[in-house]
Amino acid sequence: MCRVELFGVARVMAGVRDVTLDSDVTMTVGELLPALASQCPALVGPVLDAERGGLLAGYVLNRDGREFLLDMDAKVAPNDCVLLLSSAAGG
Amino acid sequence: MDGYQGKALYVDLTTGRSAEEDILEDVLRAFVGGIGLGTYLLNRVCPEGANPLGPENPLIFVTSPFVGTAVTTSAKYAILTKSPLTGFIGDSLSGSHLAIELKRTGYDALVVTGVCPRWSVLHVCDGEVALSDASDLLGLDTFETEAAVRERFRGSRVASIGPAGEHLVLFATISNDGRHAGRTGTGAVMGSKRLKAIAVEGHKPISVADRDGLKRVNRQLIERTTGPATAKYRVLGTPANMLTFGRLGILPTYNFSQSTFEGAEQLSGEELYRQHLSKVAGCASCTVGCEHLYHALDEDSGDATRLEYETTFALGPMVGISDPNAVIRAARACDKLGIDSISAGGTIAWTMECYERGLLTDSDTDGIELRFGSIDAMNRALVAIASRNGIGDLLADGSRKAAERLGQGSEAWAMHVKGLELPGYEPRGLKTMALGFAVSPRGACHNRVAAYEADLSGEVDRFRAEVSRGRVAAEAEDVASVLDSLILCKFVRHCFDDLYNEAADLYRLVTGWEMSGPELRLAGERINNMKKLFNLREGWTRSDDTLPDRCLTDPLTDGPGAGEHLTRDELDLMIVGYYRARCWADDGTIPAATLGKLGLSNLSQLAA
Repeated sequence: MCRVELFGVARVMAGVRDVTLDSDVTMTVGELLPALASQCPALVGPVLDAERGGLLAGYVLNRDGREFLLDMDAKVAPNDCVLLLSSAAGG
Repeated sequence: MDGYQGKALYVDLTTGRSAEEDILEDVLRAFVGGIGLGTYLLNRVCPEGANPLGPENPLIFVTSPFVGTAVTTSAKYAILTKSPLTGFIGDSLSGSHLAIELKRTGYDALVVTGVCPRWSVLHVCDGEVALSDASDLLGLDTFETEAAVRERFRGSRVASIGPAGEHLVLFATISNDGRHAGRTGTGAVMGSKRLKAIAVEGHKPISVADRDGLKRVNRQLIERTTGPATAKYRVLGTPANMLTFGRLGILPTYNFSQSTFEGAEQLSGEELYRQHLSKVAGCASCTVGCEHLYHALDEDSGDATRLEYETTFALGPMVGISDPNAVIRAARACDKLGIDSISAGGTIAWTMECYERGLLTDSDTDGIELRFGSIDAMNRALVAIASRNGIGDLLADGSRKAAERLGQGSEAWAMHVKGLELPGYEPRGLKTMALGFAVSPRGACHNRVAAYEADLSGEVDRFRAEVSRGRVAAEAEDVASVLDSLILCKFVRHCFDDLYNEAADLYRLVTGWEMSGPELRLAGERINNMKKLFNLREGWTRSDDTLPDRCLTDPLTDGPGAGEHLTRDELDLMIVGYYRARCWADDGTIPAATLGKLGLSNLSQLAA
């Protein structure tokens, strides 16, 4: 199982703090995002691109608070915790 | 002249006399406006070695070519002075209606020197200048002062100081329209001039060179400002940083002794939005609308209060407080008293650590038990600071000077650079930002160098120090200087595909003057060198470019970065890279060749 923690706009839109994806195999970011969209359709449009399936500009994924996942081919293991963040860090 | 008014107004408060001076096209092109033009004027008007609280230190209010035009997010003005907190360049931006009104007086800059014979309000109506008695306003907070002065001068917009500025608190603010020129102590300089408020009223036109062209390009920009690039700011505002920063282990907590906070959830933008939001607003001429006002749940009445991430961090995790109601009230107190909440929180956190280590006792603190997490202690400390009563007199000079006076090793946990307290970004987990903090002419600042963007985008390894970070930090500073000089809000920076070229297009449409993207980029570099020139003549040395000892000795203790550290050698390595990127000497001075490349060889040739 892979947990996706939602922050900022993603959390407001989804109305939940995190989403658990039922997967016991390693998947790519490109596979994770459609799974997330299917489990959390409220993210499609404001956060996830409805047509291309990727993240909209303004959002980014991070693994376990340490590594940013910029490549759609990046691997995500079942026990990883993926953070869905705003890419605008300023304030 | 399109875009600019082409003139500055000089007011001597001692004599009450005023004079106007043309600003040459060469100067406007070279320094653009806002922070850039203000930095140029500061270098020119402020005598070397001036006492920041003396009559000779100018207080300079500057607009920009975009202010008062249709360009979205441009309603901002800059204040420049020699900072009483740092002794170096003091600059701050504030927003909204006052900026437009100031430009409508017919000037790009208002330069105030001298000291009023008695507490006064300066009224500027087009070219007419008058001082009026302000004795009835003394002691009023910033909101009360603004309301009273606007009643006195109907149709005006007002910048004012609160009690903190009156008492020369070195991190006092200047406030207008519910916003604050917050950092570097501009309010103390205004207080030293016995100037309680400035009311401006203007009726002069603001013209642009190509109105139709500007309308077309601005419409495209507005469309992008309402898209995903600014969603965070529109929906949650900057408090959205709280939870994210905590999760990434870069949320300074308990005076930078931790980088995560157990109460981050309660103070998060997400929770504030869910439970405390009163309304969302924005500056004049803004299509983003980032301003989020909140109410406390445990009071029947009370003004809706604006919270930004920095204020929430400084009055929350930094001092160990997780009650959002308390943070909202403390933020309101800072706004009313006219205090920079970042420096206030940083200085109070230093005091709390001193108290808990036994360096300060109840007899030193007037009986205030200044322990982390004490809401009562924070509230009493804020009031004491603003009035300079008791322990407040020590704290009103900021953490650097307070630590120098107390000694006993407390300098090690005074979290400042050049005297300016650190904002809410943990440098040990953001090494490009660590460099940005260390070298910024303003002191520890996230607004003049957004180097954290590289760290938080995955573009670089945020836990690693490399010489190449020098170029990243320098480029981030140049971008900030261009935005702060045009002026455009930084929250729209990701709305451009090619910032310099697209901003240069806007500049051409507004002013009618040719400006290319590379020329605008060079202007940013020139402005940063000009800031450094000011600091050099005010006694800057290589040792000023550093970080607090705690950041260079202690590893992170918690969060995803636990065990990570930043050594002095690593910081020095990055500083070498930064000086090289700037084409500066190894000791951080600016060689003649670099000044020549930037057109700064002979500033005296550039008249006003």
